[in-house]
Amino acid sequence: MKGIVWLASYPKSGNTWFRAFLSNLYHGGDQPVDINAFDYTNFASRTGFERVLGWESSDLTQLELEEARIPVQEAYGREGNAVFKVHEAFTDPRSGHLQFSCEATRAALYFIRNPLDVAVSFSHHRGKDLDNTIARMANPAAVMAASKNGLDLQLIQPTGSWSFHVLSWIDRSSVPVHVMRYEDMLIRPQEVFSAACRFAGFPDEPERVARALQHSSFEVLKRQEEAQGFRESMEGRTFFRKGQAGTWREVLSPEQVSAIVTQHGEVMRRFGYLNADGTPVSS
Amino acid sequence: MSSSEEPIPPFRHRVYGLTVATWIPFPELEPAPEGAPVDVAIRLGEVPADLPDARFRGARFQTAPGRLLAWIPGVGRYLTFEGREIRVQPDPGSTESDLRALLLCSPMGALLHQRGILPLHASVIVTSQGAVAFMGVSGRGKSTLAAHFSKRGFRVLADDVAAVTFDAAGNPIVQPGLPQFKLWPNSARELVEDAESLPRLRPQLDKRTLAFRDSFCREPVPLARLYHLSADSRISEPTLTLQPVLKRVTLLLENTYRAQYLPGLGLQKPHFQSLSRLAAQVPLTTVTRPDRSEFSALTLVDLLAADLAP
Repeated sequence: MKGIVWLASYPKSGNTWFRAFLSNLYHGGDQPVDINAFDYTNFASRTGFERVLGWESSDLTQLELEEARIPVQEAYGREGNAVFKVHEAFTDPRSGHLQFSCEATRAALYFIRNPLDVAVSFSHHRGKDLDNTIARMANPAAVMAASKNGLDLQLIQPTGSWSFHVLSWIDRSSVPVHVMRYEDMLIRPQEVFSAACRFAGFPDEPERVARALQHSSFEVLKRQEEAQGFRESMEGRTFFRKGQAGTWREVLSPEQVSAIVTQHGEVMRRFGYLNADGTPVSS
Repeated sequence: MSSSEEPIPPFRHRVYGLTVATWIPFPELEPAPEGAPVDVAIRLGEVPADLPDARFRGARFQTAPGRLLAWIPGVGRYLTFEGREIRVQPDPGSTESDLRALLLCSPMGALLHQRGILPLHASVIVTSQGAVAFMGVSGRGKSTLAAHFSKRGFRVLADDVAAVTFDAAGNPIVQPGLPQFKLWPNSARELVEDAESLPRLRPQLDKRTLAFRDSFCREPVPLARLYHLSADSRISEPTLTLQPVLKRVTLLLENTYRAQYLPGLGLQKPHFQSLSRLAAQVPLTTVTRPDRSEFSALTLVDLLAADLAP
């Protein structure tokens, strides 16, 4: 099957876990794949983008790069099939422009996680405090990798707010999207990962999925990170930290919980993160 | 597409060991010696929208045997053919500085490949042992490193693109490139007091240019050492690793300027032969620095200065 499969999510929502699973699904032998040798890199990685662009991204203006996004995807689409991790919203929250080519896309898997847990995990990942991270998750114009002074190894990735991100992919995209809740991936992995494989056209034989799940279990990933580190961690901070649902209860203050529920309540309710009375669900 | 009947453009410059005749002056390039025979013509002309026999169609380029078509909407279209001409068709409203800056990137890279000159993505300084190249993808600090070495009195052969040729005895030589560094504001501030006053590479781009005419080396120099710049978030101190020959070939391929053009240009085989020759002759060391914001480029300059000392 031709075309690109996007592994799409707001940061810290299970995307890397799925990449680990997929790497093991395709390449895994008796041993887990090295966490520093995962495939399915970020579409915003300059190296991959430039190969198909034919120019150095750092010689081009931001506008020229943004205008090249769709043609780059179409060139990938012509080459055959590809899988990329992405954190961009489906449309650019600043301009409303599409950031993804419908023609070049085969399917998208969208990972969603309770934003209360995202706040905790993302805050640790960024090395910024919780209030700063909660504000970022509410910022309609948020972009990732927007270094003012130097050159980030990734291109700018407009995400928008957490709610905007979710809805941009699930309601407002024009590509086939399969939604996976992080919490369901934890509780019913075999079923949830198999369904995603079927949707995206990946192999879905039960034993193969089961083995890939074992080789990408949180314990295996964490053990590898402890032993040899993980390239994708920021500034040496631990990447695979808890891998659980519900840790926000021990970390967030009532005010912080209330801020997130106020900002994202509607989307939280729709995806089962709020009870009927508007309080957060227990896990 | 023969250019034999068209007049040779009026301005003469010297870059990568070639005399180029251009339709406008290129102030960022050195003048050519009086009476030097012209190797390459760079002229205005009609550039097709498509190469019908393209072997590869990228987002902003197409390649066919002997030809690269590359374009940036709003600036212009470029056709590089047979290693002897770059034809430019400006888009309405484009500026000469944008046209020049982009011409010296992709179209020039293809021209070097077509002429059998090996373009490495590297900045090059001159030491008592010969030329030393710092290779790395954009953002890894090769320009910054070379600029710091230049401040310490080393001459500089090239920034960003190192054109490697082989002499009659088969020894690799680096040809002089452009006498200017391309730097981001944060690196520029470390190097000069008034970084904001440095000219922009392109009017709409934050990247600056820093001319180094005084420390520019205008003669080709035998290549003595290769360094490959890398970064890793898992380490806290920089490391140096001397690479075995096979690994050198892989790293040279990864750091070949515009290697994505090679299959479509039909030049993969000769390119691989050049890399193998180079790998067999020149030691290559990977320099891995901690991928942390607080790590200073000066630490790396000290480390490499010590490693380079005879």
